[in-house]
Amino acid sequence: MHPDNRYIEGLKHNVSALINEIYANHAAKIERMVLANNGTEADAADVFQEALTDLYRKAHAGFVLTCPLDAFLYLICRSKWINLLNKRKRSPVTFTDTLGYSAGEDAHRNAEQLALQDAKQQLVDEQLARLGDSCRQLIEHWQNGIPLEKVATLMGTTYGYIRKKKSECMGKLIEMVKNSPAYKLLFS
Amino acid sequence: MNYEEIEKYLHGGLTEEEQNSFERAIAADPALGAEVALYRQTEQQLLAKANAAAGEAQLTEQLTALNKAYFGQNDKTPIVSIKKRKRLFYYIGGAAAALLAIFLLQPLLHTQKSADELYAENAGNIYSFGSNSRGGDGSNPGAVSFYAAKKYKEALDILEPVVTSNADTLLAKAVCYLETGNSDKALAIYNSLAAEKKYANKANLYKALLYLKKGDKAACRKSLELIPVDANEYDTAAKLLKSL
Repeated sequence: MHPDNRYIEGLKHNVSALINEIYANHAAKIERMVLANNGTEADAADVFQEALTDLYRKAHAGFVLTCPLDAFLYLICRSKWINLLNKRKRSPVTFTDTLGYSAGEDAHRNAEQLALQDAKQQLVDEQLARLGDSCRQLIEHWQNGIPLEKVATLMGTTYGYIRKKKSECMGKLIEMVKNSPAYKLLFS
Repeated sequence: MNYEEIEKYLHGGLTEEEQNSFERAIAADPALGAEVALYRQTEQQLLAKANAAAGEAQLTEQLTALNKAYFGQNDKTPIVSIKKRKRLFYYIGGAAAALLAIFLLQPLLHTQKSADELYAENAGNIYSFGSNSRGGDGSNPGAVSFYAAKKYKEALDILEPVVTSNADTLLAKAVCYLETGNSDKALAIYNSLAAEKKYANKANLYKALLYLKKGDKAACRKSLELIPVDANEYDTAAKLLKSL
Protein backbone atom coordinates (compact mmCIF):
# COMPACT_ATOMS: atom_id res chain seq x y z
CA MET A 1 0.00 0.00 0.00
CA HIS A 2 1.35 3.42 -0.94
CA PRO A 3 1.14 6.28 1.61
CA ASP A 4 -1.07 8.13 -0.90
CA ASN A 5 -3.71 5.47 -0.27
CA ARG A 6 -4.88 7.82 2.50
CA TYR A 7 -6.46 9.91 -0.25
CA ILE A 8 -8.41 6.87 -1.46
CA GLU A 9 -9.56 6.30 2.13
CA GLY A 10 -10.36 10.03 2.33
CA LEU A 11 -12.63 9.70 -0.70
CA LYS A 12 -14.19 6.52 0.66
CA HIS A 13 -15.09 8.16 3.95
CA ASN A 14 -15.76 11.60 2.49
CA VAL A 15 -13.04 13.38 4.49
CA SER A 16 -13.26 17.00 3.34
CA ALA A 17 -9.67 17.96 4.22
CA LEU A 18 -8.18 15.11 2.17
CA ILE A 19 -10.53 15.66 -0.77
CA ASN A 20 -9.62 19.32 -0.73
CA GLU A 21 -5.94 18.33 -0.78
CA ILE A 22 -6.56 16.16 -3.84
CA TYR A 23 -8.00 19.18 -5.63
CA ALA A 24 -5.24 21.50 -4.44
CA ASN A 25 -2.50 19.10 -5.61
CA HIS A 26 -3.95 17.68 -8.83
CA ALA A 27 -6.79 19.75 -10.32
CA ALA A 28 -4.47 22.21 -12.09
CA LYS A 29 -2.47 19.39 -13.75
CA ILE A 30 -5.60 17.74 -15.09
CA GLU A 31 -6.90 21.08 -16.30
CA ARG A 32 -3.61 21.68 -18.15
CA MET A 33 -3.82 18.26 -19.80
CA VAL A 34 -7.42 18.77 -20.96
CA LEU A 35 -6.82 22.33 -22.15
CA ALA A 36 -3.75 21.17 -24.09
CA ASN A 37 -5.93 18.61 -25.88
CA ASN A 38 -8.92 20.48 -27.25
CA GLY A 39 -10.87 20.71 -23.98
CA THR A 40 -12.28 23.42 -21.78
CA GLU A 41 -12.16 24.14 -18.05
CA ALA A 42 -15.65 22.61 -17.73
CA ASP A 43 -14.45 19.45 -19.51
CA ALA A 44 -11.52 19.22 -17.10
CA ALA A 45 -13.83 19.61 -14.09
CA ASP A 46 -16.14 16.88 -15.44
CA VAL A 47 -13.31 14.47 -16.09
CA PHE A 48 -11.75 15.13 -12.69
CA GLN A 49 -15.07 14.68 -10.86
CA GLU A 50 -15.85 11.45 -12.68
CA ALA A 51 -12.38 10.07 -11.95
CA LEU A 52 -12.76 10.82 -8.23
CA THR A 53 -16.25 9.31 -8.17
CA ASP A 54 -14.87 6.16 -9.82
CA LEU A 55 -12.13 5.99 -7.20
CA TYR A 56 -14.71 6.39 -4.43
CA ARG A 57 -16.72 3.46 -5.79
CA LYS A 58 -13.62 1.32 -6.22
CA ALA A 59 -12.46 2.17 -2.69
CA HIS A 60 -15.71 0.65 -1.44
CA ALA A 61 -14.98 -2.44 -3.53
CA GLY A 62 -11.60 -2.85 -1.81
CA PHE A 63 -9.24 -1.03 -4.18
CA VAL A 64 -5.86 -0.19 -2.60
CA LEU A 65 -3.38 2.25 -4.16
CA THR A 66 0.17 0.96 -4.49
CA CYS A 67 1.68 3.89 -6.40
CA PRO A 68 1.73 7.70 -6.05
CA LEU A 69 -1.68 9.27 -6.65
CA ASP A 70 -0.27 11.92 -8.99
CA ALA A 71 0.60 9.78 -12.02
CA PHE A 72 -2.27 7.35 -11.35
CA LEU A 73 -4.92 10.08 -11.31
CA TYR A 74 -3.37 11.58 -14.42
CA LEU A 75 -3.65 8.23 -16.25
CA ILE A 76 -7.30 7.78 -15.28
CA CYS A 77 -8.23 11.30 -16.35
CA ARG A 78 -6.16 10.97 -19.53
CA SER A 79 -8.00 7.78 -20.46
CA LYS A 80 -11.40 9.34 -19.70
CA TRP A 81 -10.56 12.40 -21.78
CA ILE A 82 -9.32 10.36 -24.75
CA ASN A 83 -12.52 8.28 -24.64
CA LEU A 84 -14.59 11.43 -24.62
CA LEU A 85 -12.62 13.00 -27.47
CA ASN A 86 -13.17 9.83 -29.48
CA LYS A 87 -16.90 9.98 -28.78
CA ARG A 88 -16.97 13.60 -29.88
CA LYS A 89 -14.86 12.66 -32.90
CA ARG A 90 -12.41 15.40 -31.98
CA SER A 91 -9.49 13.14 -31.26
CA PRO A 92 -6.22 15.01 -31.79
CA VAL A 93 -3.75 13.45 -34.18
CA THR A 94 -1.18 13.39 -31.40
CA PHE A 95 -2.13 13.54 -27.76
CA THR A 96 -0.05 16.10 -25.85
CA ASP A 97 0.95 14.74 -22.47
CA THR A 98 1.53 17.37 -19.83
CA LEU A 99 2.52 15.23 -16.84
CA GLY A 100 6.17 16.20 -17.23
CA TYR A 101 7.50 12.75 -16.33
CA SER A 102 6.81 9.11 -17.17
CA ALA A 103 3.85 7.68 -15.25
CA GLY A 104 5.78 4.54 -14.33
CA GLU A 105 4.85 0.86 -14.35
CA ASP A 106 3.16 0.96 -10.95
CA ALA A 107 0.75 3.68 -12.00
CA HIS A 108 -0.11 1.81 -15.21
CA ARG A 109 -0.65 -1.41 -13.23
CA ASN A 110 -2.93 0.37 -10.75
CA ALA A 111 -4.91 1.95 -13.57
CA GLU A 112 -5.29 -1.45 -15.24
CA GLN A 113 -6.41 -3.01 -11.97
CA LEU A 114 -8.99 -0.28 -11.56
CA ALA A 115 -10.28 -0.84 -15.08
CA LEU A 116 -10.49 -4.62 -14.43
CA GLN A 117 -12.40 -4.09 -11.19
CA ASP A 118 -14.73 -1.74 -13.03
CA ALA A 119 -15.38 -4.30 -15.76
CA LYS A 120 -16.09 -7.06 -13.19
CA GLN A 121 -18.53 -4.82 -11.33
CA GLN A 122 -20.22 -3.92 -14.60
CA LEU A 123 -20.57 -7.58 -15.52
CA VAL A 124 -22.22 -8.44 -12.17
CA ASP A 125 -24.51 -5.37 -12.46
CA GLU A 126 -25.57 -6.34 -15.99
CA GLN A 127 -26.39 -9.89 -14.98
CA LEU A 128 -28.21 -8.74 -11.83
CA ALA A 129 -30.43 -6.54 -14.02
CA ARG A 130 -31.29 -9.64 -16.09
CA LEU A 131 -32.39 -11.71 -13.09
CA GLY A 132 -36.10 -12.28 -12.51
CA ASP A 133 -37.97 -9.70 -10.42
CA SER A 134 -38.28 -11.74 -7.22
CA CYS A 135 -34.61 -12.73 -7.18
CA ARG A 136 -33.46 -9.22 -8.00
CA GLN A 137 -35.62 -7.71 -5.28
CA LEU A 138 -34.40 -10.21 -2.72
CA ILE A 139 -30.74 -9.56 -3.57
CA GLU A 140 -31.28 -5.80 -3.56
CA HIS A 141 -32.89 -5.91 -0.10
CA TRP A 142 -29.98 -7.97 1.18
CA GLN A 143 -27.53 -5.65 -0.59
CA ASN A 144 -29.05 -2.69 1.23
CA GLY A 145 -28.30 -4.28 4.58
CA ILE A 146 -31.81 -5.46 5.42
CA PRO A 147 -31.53 -8.61 7.55
CA LEU A 148 -32.96 -11.71 5.88
CA GLU A 149 -35.53 -12.02 8.70
CA LYS A 150 -36.83 -8.57 7.77
CA VAL A 151 -36.69 -9.39 4.04
CA ALA A 152 -38.87 -12.44 4.78
CA THR A 153 -41.44 -10.17 6.47
CA LEU A 154 -41.31 -7.63 3.65
CA MET A 155 -41.82 -10.36 1.06
CA GLY A 156 -44.50 -12.10 3.11
CA THR A 157 -42.70 -15.39 3.66
CA THR A 158 -40.55 -17.27 6.19
CA TYR A 159 -36.90 -16.78 7.09
CA GLY A 160 -36.07 -20.38 6.16
CA TYR A 161 -37.55 -19.97 2.69
CA ILE A 162 -35.82 -16.62 2.12
CA ARG A 163 -32.45 -18.01 3.14
CA LYS A 164 -32.80 -20.91 0.70
CA LYS A 165 -34.13 -18.56 -1.97
CA LYS A 166 -31.20 -16.17 -1.51
CA SER A 167 -28.71 -18.97 -2.18
CA GLU A 168 -30.73 -20.01 -5.27
CA CYS A 169 -30.77 -16.43 -6.56
CA MET A 170 -27.06 -15.96 -5.92
CA GLY A 171 -26.49 -19.25 -7.70
CA LYS A 172 -28.49 -18.08 -10.73
CA LEU A 173 -26.57 -14.79 -10.79
CA ILE A 174 -23.21 -16.58 -10.60
CA GLU A 175 -24.18 -19.00 -13.38
CA MET A 176 -25.20 -16.07 -15.57
CA VAL A 177 -21.90 -14.32 -14.83
CA LYS A 178 -19.99 -17.50 -15.66
CA ASN A 179 -21.88 -18.00 -18.91
CA SER A 180 -21.24 -14.47 -20.15
CA PRO A 181 -18.58 -14.06 -22.86
CA ALA A 182 -16.57 -11.61 -20.72
CA TYR A 183 -16.23 -14.00 -17.77
CA LYS A 184 -13.11 -15.90 -18.83
CA LEU A 185 -11.35 -12.73 -19.83
CA LEU A 186 -12.07 -10.96 -16.54
CA PHE A 187 -11.94 -13.72 -13.96
CA SER A 188 -9.19 -16.03 -15.22
CA MET B 1 -23.42 -26.76 -7.82
CA ASN B 2 -24.98 -26.74 -4.36
CA TYR B 3 -25.16 -23.01 -3.68
CA GLU B 4 -27.29 -23.52 -0.58
CA GLU B 5 -24.38 -25.34 1.03
CA ILE B 6 -21.97 -22.52 0.05
CA GLU B 7 -24.38 -19.92 1.46
CA LYS B 8 -24.57 -21.81 4.75
CA TYR B 9 -20.80 -22.27 4.84
CA LEU B 10 -20.14 -18.54 4.33
CA HIS B 11 -22.86 -17.29 6.66
CA GLY B 12 -22.65 -19.60 9.65
CA GLY B 13 -25.47 -21.97 8.73
CA LEU B 14 -23.50 -25.19 9.28
CA THR B 15 -22.72 -27.09 12.46
CA GLU B 16 -19.06 -27.24 13.48
CA GLU B 17 -18.81 -30.76 12.13
CA GLU B 18 -20.44 -29.81 8.81
CA GLN B 19 -18.18 -26.74 8.58
CA ASN B 20 -15.04 -28.88 9.03
CA SER B 21 -16.30 -31.42 6.53
CA PHE B 22 -17.01 -28.67 3.97
CA GLU B 23 -13.53 -27.23 4.47
CA ARG B 24 -12.03 -30.67 3.81
CA ALA B 25 -14.11 -30.89 0.64
CA ILE B 26 -12.81 -27.49 -0.50
CA ALA B 27 -9.23 -28.58 0.18
CA ALA B 28 -9.74 -31.75 -1.86
CA ASP B 29 -11.62 -30.13 -4.72
CA PRO B 30 -10.12 -26.94 -6.24
CA ALA B 31 -13.23 -26.46 -8.41
CA LEU B 32 -15.40 -26.25 -5.29
CA GLY B 33 -12.88 -23.83 -3.77
CA ALA B 34 -13.14 -21.65 -6.88
CA GLU B 35 -16.96 -21.69 -6.65
CA VAL B 36 -16.85 -20.61 -3.01
CA ALA B 37 -14.38 -17.84 -3.89
CA LEU B 38 -16.60 -16.61 -6.74
CA TYR B 39 -19.69 -16.68 -4.51
CA ARG B 40 -17.85 -14.64 -1.86
CA GLN B 41 -16.42 -12.22 -4.44
CA THR B 42 -19.85 -11.65 -6.04
CA GLU B 43 -21.41 -10.95 -2.64
CA GLN B 44 -18.62 -8.50 -1.83
CA GLN B 45 -19.15 -6.68 -5.12
CA LEU B 46 -22.88 -6.39 -4.49
CA LEU B 47 -22.36 -5.08 -0.96
CA ALA B 48 -19.61 -2.66 -1.99
CA LYS B 49 -21.88 -1.14 -4.59
CA ALA B 50 -24.70 -0.61 -2.10
CA ASN B 51 -22.31 0.89 0.46
CA ALA B 52 -20.89 3.29 -2.10
CA ALA B 53 -24.35 4.33 -3.29
CA ALA B 54 -25.39 5.35 0.22
CA GLY B 55 -22.78 8.13 0.47
CA GLU B 56 -22.34 9.06 -3.17
CA ALA B 57 -24.80 11.96 -3.23
CA GLN B 58 -22.93 13.69 -0.44
CA LEU B 59 -19.60 13.16 -2.18
CA THR B 60 -21.00 14.52 -5.45
CA GLU B 61 -22.18 17.63 -3.63
CA GLN B 62 -18.72 18.15 -2.19
CA LEU B 63 -16.94 17.54 -5.50
CA THR B 64 -19.27 19.92 -7.31
CA ALA B 65 -18.47 22.65 -4.78
CA LEU B 66 -14.73 22.01 -5.10
CA ASN B 67 -14.97 22.03 -8.89
CA LYS B 68 -16.35 25.54 -8.67
CA ALA B 69 -13.45 26.62 -6.50
CA TYR B 70 -10.64 24.90 -8.41
CA PHE B 71 -11.83 25.05 -12.01
CA GLY B 72 -13.17 28.62 -11.91
CA GLN B 73 -16.75 27.52 -12.57
CA ASN B 74 -18.53 30.12 -10.46
CA ASP B 75 -20.25 31.95 -13.27
CA LYS B 76 -20.42 29.07 -15.70
CA THR B 77 -22.51 26.01 -16.32
CA PRO B 78 -22.82 23.86 -13.19
CA ILE B 79 -20.79 20.66 -13.28
CA VAL B 80 -22.84 17.63 -14.21
CA SER B 81 -21.97 14.20 -15.50
CA ILE B 82 -20.84 14.26 -19.08
CA LYS B 83 -23.57 11.78 -19.97
CA LYS B 84 -26.22 14.03 -18.51
CA ARG B 85 -25.08 17.25 -20.14
CA LYS B 86 -27.24 16.84 -23.24
CA ARG B 87 -30.34 16.37 -21.12
CA LEU B 88 -29.44 19.50 -19.19
CA PHE B 89 -30.20 21.71 -22.21
CA TYR B 90 -33.79 20.49 -22.16
CA TYR B 91 -34.03 21.06 -18.42
CA ILE B 92 -32.64 24.58 -18.74
CA GLY B 93 -35.12 25.35 -21.51
CA GLY B 94 -37.98 23.97 -19.41
CA ALA B 95 -36.83 25.83 -16.32
CA ALA B 96 -36.53 29.10 -18.23
CA ALA B 97 -40.07 28.70 -19.58
CA ALA B 98 -41.34 27.90 -16.08
CA LEU B 99 -39.60 30.96 -14.61
CA LEU B 100 -41.07 33.19 -17.29
CA ALA B 101 -44.54 31.77 -16.61
CA ILE B 102 -44.11 32.35 -12.85
CA PHE B 103 -42.94 35.92 -13.49
CA LEU B 104 -45.91 36.71 -15.71
CA LEU B 105 -48.39 35.07 -13.36
CA GLN B 106 -46.88 36.50 -10.17
CA PRO B 107 -49.61 39.08 -9.51
CA LEU B 108 -52.18 36.28 -9.59
CA LEU B 109 -50.34 34.06 -7.12
CA HIS B 110 -50.82 34.09 -3.35
CA THR B 111 -47.81 35.56 -1.56
CA GLN B 112 -48.54 33.92 1.84
CA LYS B 113 -47.82 30.22 1.70
CA SER B 114 -49.65 27.68 3.83
CA ALA B 115 -47.87 25.62 6.50
CA ASP B 116 -48.29 22.54 4.29
CA GLU B 117 -46.68 24.26 1.33
CA LEU B 118 -43.80 25.53 3.44
CA TYR B 119 -43.28 22.07 4.92
CA ALA B 120 -43.21 20.48 1.48
CA GLU B 121 -40.76 23.12 0.24
CA ASN B 122 -38.33 22.82 3.13
CA ALA B 123 -38.49 19.26 4.45
CA GLY B 124 -36.61 17.72 1.52
CA ASN B 125 -33.69 20.12 1.91
CA ILE B 126 -33.44 19.82 5.67
CA TYR B 127 -34.03 16.13 6.29
CA SER B 128 -30.76 14.40 5.51
CA PHE B 129 -29.68 10.95 6.51
CA GLY B 130 -26.68 8.88 5.52
CA SER B 131 -23.88 11.36 6.10
CA ASN B 132 -21.33 8.57 6.13
CA SER B 133 -21.02 5.67 3.74
CA ARG B 134 -23.22 3.31 5.77
CA GLY B 135 -25.64 5.88 7.16
CA GLY B 136 -26.06 7.32 10.63
CA ASP B 137 -24.27 5.14 13.14
CA GLY B 138 -22.82 2.99 10.40
CA SER B 139 -25.31 0.13 10.47
CA ASN B 140 -28.29 1.16 8.39
CA PRO B 141 -27.61 1.39 4.64
CA GLY B 142 -31.02 -0.21 3.99
CA ALA B 143 -32.73 2.43 6.09
CA VAL B 144 -30.78 5.13 4.24
CA SER B 145 -32.06 3.84 0.91
CA PHE B 146 -35.68 3.71 2.08
CA TYR B 147 -35.33 7.13 3.72
CA ALA B 148 -33.88 8.66 0.56
CA ALA B 149 -36.82 7.18 -1.38
CA LYS B 150 -39.21 8.66 1.22
CA LYS B 151 -40.39 5.16 2.11
CA TYR B 152 -40.59 6.15 5.77
CA LYS B 153 -42.53 3.13 6.97
CA GLU B 154 -39.96 0.74 5.55
CA ALA B 155 -37.10 2.87 6.94
CA LEU B 156 -38.80 2.88 10.34
CA ASP B 157 -39.14 -0.91 10.25
CA ILE B 158 -35.35 -1.02 10.22
CA LEU B 159 -34.63 1.96 12.47
CA GLU B 160 -37.19 1.31 15.18
CA PRO B 161 -35.38 -1.63 16.82
CA VAL B 162 -32.01 0.15 16.57
CA VAL B 163 -30.76 1.32 19.95
CA THR B 164 -28.34 4.17 19.31
CA SER B 165 -27.16 7.50 20.61
CA ASN B 166 -26.17 8.64 17.11
CA ALA B 167 -27.94 11.93 16.50
CA ASP B 168 -28.34 11.47 12.74
CA THR B 169 -29.98 8.08 13.20
CA LEU B 170 -32.23 9.43 15.96
CA LEU B 171 -33.28 12.40 13.80
CA ALA B 172 -34.00 10.08 10.89
CA LYS B 173 -36.04 7.83 13.17
CA ALA B 174 -37.99 10.87 14.40
CA VAL B 175 -38.71 11.99 10.82
CA CYS B 176 -39.97 8.47 10.06
CA TYR B 177 -42.27 8.68 13.09
CA LEU B 178 -43.52 12.07 12.00
CA GLU B 179 -44.12 10.98 8.42
CA THR B 180 -45.97 7.87 9.54
CA GLY B 181 -48.33 9.83 11.79
CA ASN B 182 -46.62 9.50 15.17
CA SER B 183 -45.62 13.08 15.90
CA ASP B 184 -45.51 12.54 19.69
CA LYS B 185 -42.66 10.06 19.39
CA ALA B 186 -40.88 12.39 16.96
CA LEU B 187 -41.27 15.32 19.35
CA ALA B 188 -39.89 13.25 22.24
CA ILE B 189 -36.74 12.53 20.24
CA TYR B 190 -36.33 16.17 19.20
CA ASN B 191 -36.78 17.32 22.80
CA SER B 192 -34.18 14.86 24.08
CA LEU B 193 -31.67 15.99 21.44
CA ALA B 194 -32.50 19.67 22.00
CA ALA B 195 -31.39 19.19 25.61
CA GLU B 196 -27.87 18.39 24.40
CA LYS B 197 -25.92 21.50 23.43
CA LYS B 198 -24.18 19.74 20.53
CA TYR B 199 -27.44 18.78 18.79
CA ALA B 200 -29.80 21.48 20.06
CA ASN B 201 -29.80 23.65 16.91
CA LYS B 202 -30.43 20.80 14.52
CA ALA B 203 -33.10 19.38 16.83
CA ASN B 204 -34.84 22.77 17.00
CA LEU B 205 -34.78 23.08 13.23
CA TYR B 206 -36.38 19.65 12.89
CA LYS B 207 -38.84 20.51 15.64
CA ALA B 208 -39.84 23.65 13.72
CA LEU B 209 -40.66 21.45 10.73
CA LEU B 210 -42.73 19.16 12.94
CA TYR B 211 -44.84 22.13 14.05
CA LEU B 212 -45.11 23.28 10.44
CA LYS B 213 -46.40 19.85 9.46
CA LYS B 214 -48.97 20.14 12.22
CA GLY B 215 -49.99 23.55 10.86
CA ASP B 216 -48.76 25.46 13.92
CA LYS B 217 -46.78 28.35 12.44
CA ALA B 218 -46.40 30.17 15.80
CA ALA B 219 -44.72 27.17 17.46
CA CYS B 220 -42.62 26.70 14.35
CA ARG B 221 -41.46 30.32 14.60
CA LYS B 222 -40.61 29.88 18.31
CA SER B 223 -38.41 26.86 17.60
CA LEU B 224 -36.62 28.66 14.78
CA GLU B 225 -35.96 31.69 16.96
CA LEU B 226 -34.01 29.48 19.37
CA ILE B 227 -31.32 28.93 16.73
CA PRO B 228 -28.45 31.40 17.28
CA VAL B 229 -26.76 33.45 14.54
CA ASP B 230 -23.50 31.50 14.74
CA ALA B 231 -25.17 28.10 14.27
CA ASN B 232 -24.74 26.15 11.03
CA GLU B 233 -28.53 25.93 10.84
CA TYR B 234 -29.04 29.69 11.15
CA ASP B 235 -29.28 30.54 7.43
CA THR B 236 -31.87 27.82 6.83
CA ALA B 237 -33.80 28.90 9.92
CA ALA B 238 -33.67 32.57 8.92
CA LYS B 239 -34.91 31.80 5.42
CA LEU B 240 -37.79 29.75 6.77
CA LEU B 241 -38.64 32.43 9.35
CA LYS B 242 -38.81 35.00 6.58
CA SER B 243 -41.25 32.93 4.60
CA LEU B 244 -43.54 32.22 7.58
